[in-house]
Amino acid sequence: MPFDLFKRVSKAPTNPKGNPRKRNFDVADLYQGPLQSEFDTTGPGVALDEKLRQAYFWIVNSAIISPHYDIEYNDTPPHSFIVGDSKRRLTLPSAQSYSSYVLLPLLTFATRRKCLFVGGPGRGKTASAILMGVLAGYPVKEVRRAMQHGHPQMTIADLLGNPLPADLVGAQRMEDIRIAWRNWLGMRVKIIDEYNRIPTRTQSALLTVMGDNYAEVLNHVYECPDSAWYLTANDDQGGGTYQVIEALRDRIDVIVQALAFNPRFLGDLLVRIEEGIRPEELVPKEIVFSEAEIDQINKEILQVELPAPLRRRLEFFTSQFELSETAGAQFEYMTKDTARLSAVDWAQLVASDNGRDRLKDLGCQTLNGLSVRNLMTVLIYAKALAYFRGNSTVELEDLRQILPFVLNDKLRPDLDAPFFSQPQNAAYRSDSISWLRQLFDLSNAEYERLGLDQEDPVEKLQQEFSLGLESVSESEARTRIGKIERLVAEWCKGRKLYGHLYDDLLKLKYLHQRYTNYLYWLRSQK
Amino acid sequence: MTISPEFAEVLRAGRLEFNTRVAEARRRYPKFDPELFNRFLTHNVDPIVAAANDECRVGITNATFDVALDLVGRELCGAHRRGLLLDKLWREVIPALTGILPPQPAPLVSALCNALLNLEAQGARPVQWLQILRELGPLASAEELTDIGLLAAWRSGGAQFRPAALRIAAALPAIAQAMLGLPETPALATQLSALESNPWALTPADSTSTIREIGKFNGYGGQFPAPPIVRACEQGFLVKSENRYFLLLVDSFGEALIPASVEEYVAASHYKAAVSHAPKLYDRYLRTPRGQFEHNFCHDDVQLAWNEHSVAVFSPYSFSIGVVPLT
Repeated sequence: MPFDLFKRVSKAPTNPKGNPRKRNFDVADLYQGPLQSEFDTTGPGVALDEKLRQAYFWIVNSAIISPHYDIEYNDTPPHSFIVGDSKRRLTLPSAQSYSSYVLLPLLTFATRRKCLFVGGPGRGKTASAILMGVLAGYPVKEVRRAMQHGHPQMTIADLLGNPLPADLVGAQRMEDIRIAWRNWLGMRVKIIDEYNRIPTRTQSALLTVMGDNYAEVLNHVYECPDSAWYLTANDDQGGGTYQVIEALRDRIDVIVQALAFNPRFLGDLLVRIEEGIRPEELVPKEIVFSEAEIDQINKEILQVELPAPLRRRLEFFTSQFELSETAGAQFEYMTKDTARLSAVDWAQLVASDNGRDRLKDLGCQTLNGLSVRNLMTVLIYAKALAYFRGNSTVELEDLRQILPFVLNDKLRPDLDAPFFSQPQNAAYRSDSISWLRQLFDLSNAEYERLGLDQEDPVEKLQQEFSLGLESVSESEARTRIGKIERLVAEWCKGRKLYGHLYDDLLKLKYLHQRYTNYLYWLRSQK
Repeated sequence: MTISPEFAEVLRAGRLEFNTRVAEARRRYPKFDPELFNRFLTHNVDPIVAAANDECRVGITNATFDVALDLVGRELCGAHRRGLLLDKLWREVIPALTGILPPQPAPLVSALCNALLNLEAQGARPVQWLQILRELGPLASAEELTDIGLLAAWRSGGAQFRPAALRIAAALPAIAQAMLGLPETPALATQLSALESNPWALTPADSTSTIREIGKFNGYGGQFPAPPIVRACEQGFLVKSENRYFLLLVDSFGEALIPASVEEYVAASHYKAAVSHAPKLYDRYLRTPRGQFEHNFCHDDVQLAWNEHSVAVFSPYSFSIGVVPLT
């Protein structure tokens, strides 16, 4: 019997919950134990979230040496210690915590999104991506062959496929030219190695595949299946031979950094060298997912509930960043996007903005706001993380943990902002994950200070409006309009304009307009 | 002590392969003890290999060698209680089973080791389990052996296996009758039906008529960090001790204390047993329709919880729970 050093999947529940358990004790309960026996088989009854956790724990325990538990959860106050001259905090989490380098790619696999691995060469970025291909059921060789390696001479034909030479010569019409599509386009896991070395023109073709899920050559279209994407780059700044086009960068959903190797784990590496072991060749069959299973996981993830109070906190956080008071003359155009589109000098714009507390205002820390795509990605990954943890509802901590990885490279810091010049915040200039998490924490603190969970007049007005306008009388509509106008007047009186207030005022304007239109309609019925 | 010529021959023939496996195990288990492994081979594996017939000998050697590596690597062997029990399994039971072992016996041998360790950890009677298996195991086929092991586990105190064991008993009537000591009449089906409806329907010869005490302070190796509070439920009792919850199952042969959830404990508050004669406490005695049982719980605040078949006695001054049959 050969030793399965790397092929054992966790038999115990990977995240045991206090849910009522099965009480039909049977033969397997007696014969399962520390030694491998025929009663150890995972069986068909394993829930998909459990299977996903089994895959995670197999990867961290047997495949990828990534002992960095940077996604921290606590169920009781954790032990933490202050260390070093810079007084950094080391926390020992009190609940099951995770390594982002393994978890984020796995969530990407489950949600079929796009993940970018960044980090120096030789840190296992490509190996991790290959592992995800194997989890999808492809043989290692096939995954390797299908992997696209970015290089400066890469053409669109290299990437997508070639027209058949015979057809090219003999065809009378474009439709007669057959295309030999590249195999990787049909795979459910797509890997682009060193994507920042792909020339700009070819990047545009890649953008179509990534963004719209089809490839086009000579008027022929190849529809790709839904798939998880893994891209690697040696740094996340678009460096390399070619600048990565912004639209392509924006299509990437999460960015994970390959953290440094801890030499304390050199022994594990030695075993692999001596035994000639390549973990991607030893993936246990119990953690390989079929297409139907991934479909089902997707459905189950979307069923995870995001409670309204949590959604409000995300709204509040998002509203911090878009406002740029000096960028527009009309209220709706007072956004960073207006400034960016006009290509006005950012420093000049910031210098003219002297009304607010630039340290307190979170919006002053960023160069841009959040796009709809970013927000959708945050919501999906937060649900996926909650699902992975075996929960049916997203928790605040899920949102707090996932948000930095989604917004990394999306919400760009203004490094000239006063926040970054404070000595205690200097590390945030280079550590964008911690900065984004800190940003969310500060936003939550402000949300709690304002008591928005208890008293949120805009939400109340929205709920009133959501009940519908049917049977709302003219006088009632006027009362509501009056309420909105009083609220706007109160909020505009002597207040500084902050991002969340700006969005609230715009929302009030929206409601005001809907009621005004309704009044017009009511009058026309008389 | 030297090993048998049969075992020596197989080891000699596969020397390189066996040495490679030992080297792998030493890498896999940092605390692998080669001396202990040698002793295990000599005293425990050799009798099994020697008892095997010529055709099966190589297969059995391969299987037992690998399981032995795993056991030694996981520090399950040695002079401690678990190690001594495993020695007993390997020296007395497995050699008796060599005639019915399948061609690839490693999973079965591993399963038997696991079962023994599970019974020991659950506070059942692993020695009795070994004895039953040694006597009745050779009468079965390899396919039936795990079922017989489960039936024996119930007979040896694994109360949680009662429903599964009753199903097996119906399928293996002769062995069940011998193992459970059931009389010839009435028909087995009638007896099993009675056992299914009442966990105390059998009174084994080795049972006592005193109150059965379960659990103790976890500082002394027990299960309870605080005096337990007990609620009855249909299956048995739900127990709360500080922030830990258990399901307590009790029957004629033994008891099992299994982790439970707070939700199950809360749900048990709605349970009310439908019994005609409620148990009563008189001074140091607990009276039930089954008889009078003397208890040694402190008189103050002693409490009772009961379902249709059993009564639990507990007190805020004790880390144990006393259980007696009700009907």
